[in-house]
Amino acid sequence: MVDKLELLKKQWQKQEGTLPKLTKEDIYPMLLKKSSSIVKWISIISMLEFGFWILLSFAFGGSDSRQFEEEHGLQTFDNIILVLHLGALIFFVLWFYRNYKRIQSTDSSKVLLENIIKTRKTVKYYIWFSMAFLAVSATIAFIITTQNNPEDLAGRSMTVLILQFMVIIGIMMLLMWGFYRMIYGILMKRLDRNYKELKKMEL
Amino acid sequence: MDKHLQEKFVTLLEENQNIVHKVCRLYTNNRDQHNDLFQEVTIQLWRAFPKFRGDAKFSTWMYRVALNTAITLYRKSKRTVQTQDFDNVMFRISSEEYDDTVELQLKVMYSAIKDLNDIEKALVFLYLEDKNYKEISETMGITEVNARVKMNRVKGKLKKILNP
Repeated sequence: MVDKLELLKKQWQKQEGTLPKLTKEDIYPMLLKKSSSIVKWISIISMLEFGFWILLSFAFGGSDSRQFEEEHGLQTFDNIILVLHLGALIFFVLWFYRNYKRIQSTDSSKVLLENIIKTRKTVKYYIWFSMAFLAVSATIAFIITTQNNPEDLAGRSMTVLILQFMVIIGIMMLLMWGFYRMIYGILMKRLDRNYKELKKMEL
Repeated sequence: MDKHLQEKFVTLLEENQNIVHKVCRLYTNNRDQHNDLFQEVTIQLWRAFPKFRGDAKFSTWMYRVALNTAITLYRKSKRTVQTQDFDNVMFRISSEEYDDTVELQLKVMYSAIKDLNDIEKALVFLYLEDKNYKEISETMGITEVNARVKMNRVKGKLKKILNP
């Protein structure tokens, strides 16, 4: 068999005559084209994800919600949440950018794969952080609202309210998780598989 | 980027384009995909070229970028219909040198190599290009010993395919 592989090697090295031949005129326009690499797609999707969470925080900051905050004593709490979330966002974007800049096609395959996966993971951590942050802040807001405005509970059972609240948060997180798994799965499937294959060689 | 650099790059790529074509031939199944991958490798090479210091051979540097693009960066388009004879073309050149049985076996082996996973394919590619294990290990980012062990396993896998 090895002899056959040697034969194939010889044949392989002789294939030059059958390969396409591009001229300089063919190559020049190629330099102007845009890349459609996976890294480009990862960065676009990651930016959209960051953007989505920024928009989400603005969506909850309209005049109606401000009036609601005033009525229910949530103003201070909301300001703290905004500062914390913006701080986290800046931290994650900078972290993402640092890892993104490390992606070099001239590295070894393993290092390149590691750097891409690391970059993508910064977004993954941000999503997990945002979901946890959303759940915790919504819970605290719920407690403050019910404590400051016991009249809101009039005629309603606290247990039912808590259950309703938990179901809503649960569904939201499940949807986010599903959506995220889908995007992450499509983007990273091949990279993960190749990285695992390289890691396996080291065992 | 300046014109001189662009000219230097295009000349080097034109001279060494066979490396990229061979990677494309191994990792794609039809002419459109071949051209797409060639285009993407060219972009990646051009982007990285300002950092190419010339302390390595341009061809060695190209192997790395071309394989990395094929393994990691390239997203295959949905055009997966295999063009007839796309893979057989390399066996045409010297069919008179081998008898039909050997030629058929080579075709079977080549098709088995194309069915390997991306990483195994990269190993075989570098082996076919007559690279030593030091170069293979540096390109892939694994140790020389592991490259050798893995290559032996791949050879075993091919042997099984040829002699089931």
